[in-house]
Formats: sequence, structure tokens, C-alpha cells
Amino acid sequence: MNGQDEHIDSEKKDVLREIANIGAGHAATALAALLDRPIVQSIPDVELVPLNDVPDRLGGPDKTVASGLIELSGDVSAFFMVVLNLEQADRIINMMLGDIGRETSGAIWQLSELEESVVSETVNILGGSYLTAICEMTGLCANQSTPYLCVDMVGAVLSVVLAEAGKAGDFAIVFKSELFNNDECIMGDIILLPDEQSCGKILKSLGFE
Amino acid sequence: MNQNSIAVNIAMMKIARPPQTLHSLGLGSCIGVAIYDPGIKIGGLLHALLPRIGEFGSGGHSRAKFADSGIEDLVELLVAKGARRNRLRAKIAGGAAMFALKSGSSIGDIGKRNVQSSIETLQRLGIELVAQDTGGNKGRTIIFNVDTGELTIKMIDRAVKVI
Repeated sequence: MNGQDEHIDSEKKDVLREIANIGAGHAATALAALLDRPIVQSIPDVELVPLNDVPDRLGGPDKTVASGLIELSGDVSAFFMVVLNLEQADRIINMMLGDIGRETSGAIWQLSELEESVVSETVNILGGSYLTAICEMTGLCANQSTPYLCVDMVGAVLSVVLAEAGKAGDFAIVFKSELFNNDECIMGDIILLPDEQSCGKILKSLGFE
Repeated sequence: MNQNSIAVNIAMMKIARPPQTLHSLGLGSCIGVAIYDPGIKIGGLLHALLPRIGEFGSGGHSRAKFADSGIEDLVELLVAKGARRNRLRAKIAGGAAMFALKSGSSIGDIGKRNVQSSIETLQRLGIELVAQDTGGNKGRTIIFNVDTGELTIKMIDRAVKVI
């Protein structure tokens, strides 16, 4: 961050973590209803991560993942990204489609149209949950785009959000939380990446200058 | 990757001599710029995130984060290590559009702009661009053999390509 220390002070971090906490809470509730099974959330983490370390935090730049991206725009502009490893994506699809199940065939991991819309909808619900949390807490208003999906290497899928973060500085503010069903992590890495201005706005609306 | 290969992460540049190779994993909209001098067998790789340093006025940025300033620095570094400027050749890969973003934000075509900026910067510095594999909507892993100048490109569901 320009002219900013390479850390978030603990008070601000607590507030941002609380947003992540409420967001993940909403997400867990929504997902539990959708999947008809109990979902619990981990304690979220908020970190200022050097840009080139972000891919490593998500399993390494060349790991293949299924990712969904939502753009938030309005008072707050941010990218919301869900990164699923392929086993997690398979599990969610299976939970959601029940009897139809996931057709896994061939060496290449691909999604059918129906499976794509299942993953999109999941990402959509998660994004909406976080957005609601931000809006409830701050009174700021934002819209979400429809989800964009991409199955590729971690480094590649992250490049767009990192490019946005890179405009402001050499660090990204990464919100991270996980959702579990019976101790099984079904949703690994949920990342909310507000641009620098928006992060300032969020903090300001909560009384920080 | 074998032990003789040096990782070049986002906003980094590295140089190497044989038998070492250089690699960048999972390039998306980022651009990988490989520059080498076949005469003395030295090469460097830049992994840039954004097109131009001039678009971001304030300081505090690492120069290797941008294609233009990164290429300038990489060329200077290679020359300082004994490379001849007029013998330098370049290959570029990356600059994909991973998500089909509809919004008007400039970030949607960031890959394309990274490619443009790299080509323009190489031209301005008089360095011949001998090969490129850019654009599309797939991530690339690249491995740069500084001995032969070959750039190997791997994608998740495509055959390996060498340019």
C-alpha cells in the first residue's frame, strides 16, 4: 500500500474480520438451506498479503481449481472470489444435484452446463451473503454482477483480482473463510478483495478515520 | 520443476545462465517476457501484472510489477551482466482474459493491454520480438531455457507448446 505500513492495525483488522464473520455466517445459513444439511463456518481471517504470495496461500500458482468471480460495484467496489479445489466442487455438485450426481468422465475435469449453473448459483449466494453483511454493517450500498466461472490454474484465475489490487500497491487485503459440513471442508477459500478506496470507505463508515 | 529452475513470481524478474532455467507458474492476464542473448547464453524472465508504470503516479510500486518498467530494468540488468543490447531477443507469453467480465472497468482487458505494452516497450528499446503466445482465455505455465532460447508453454488441457 502506498505510504501505508505493511500491516493492518489490530483494531481495523477486528472490524474487517467481523464483516467477514457476518458474511460467512450468512453464507453458511444460505448454503445450509440450499444443500439441506448443517454448515458451520471457520473463524475468518483478514490479512494483508504481498501480491506474489497470494497464489501460494491458495495451494500454489499451478494448482487447478474451479473459481467463481463476482464484481461488487456502487459505494464499494470489490472483487469477491470463491476458489474451490476440484474435489470440493465435485462434492458441492453432488450435494446439490442429489440423485443425478456428477458425471465424471475422462482425464480432463470439465463441467456440464447444469453443473456450471450449480457452481455459479453457489458462488452467487455466497457473494450475496458477503455483500449483505457489508451493507448491513456500513450502510453502504453495492450491486453484484452475475458470477463468472473459470477452471484453471490458481495463479491464472487470481490474476485479474491481483491486477486490481496491484493498482493500489504491492499488497492485497485478503478475507479468508471456510465452510464445513461434518468436519469436511466444502468451501475452501472465499476471498473478498476490496480496492484500497473501498476498504477506506468501509472503515470510515464504521467510525475509523 | 527441477532444482535448476528458478521461479519467477508476480512482479519479479530473474536472470539465469545455463544449465539453469527460469519459470513462471499459472500466468493469466499477467505477461511473461523472456529476453536472452544467444551469443553469451544469458537470459532473463519478467512476470508483470500491469501494463504501464506511468498510469500509477504515486511511488511505492515495484518496477517489475509493470511490463514497461520491468522490461527496461530487465534489459539493463542483462546488459550489466555482459549481454549485448543489439543481440537481445524477446519472446512473450500470457495476457489471457480469464473471465469474460462485462463491466466497463479497465481491468477486463488487462491481459490485452499487458501484451500491447510489452510489444511497444520492446519496439522502443529496439529488441526483436521473435515469438509470442498471447491472449485467449487459458492460463499458461512457462519455462524458459536460456541455453536455447526456447520458451515452453503448458496449459491445463492443451498439448505442450514450444516457441
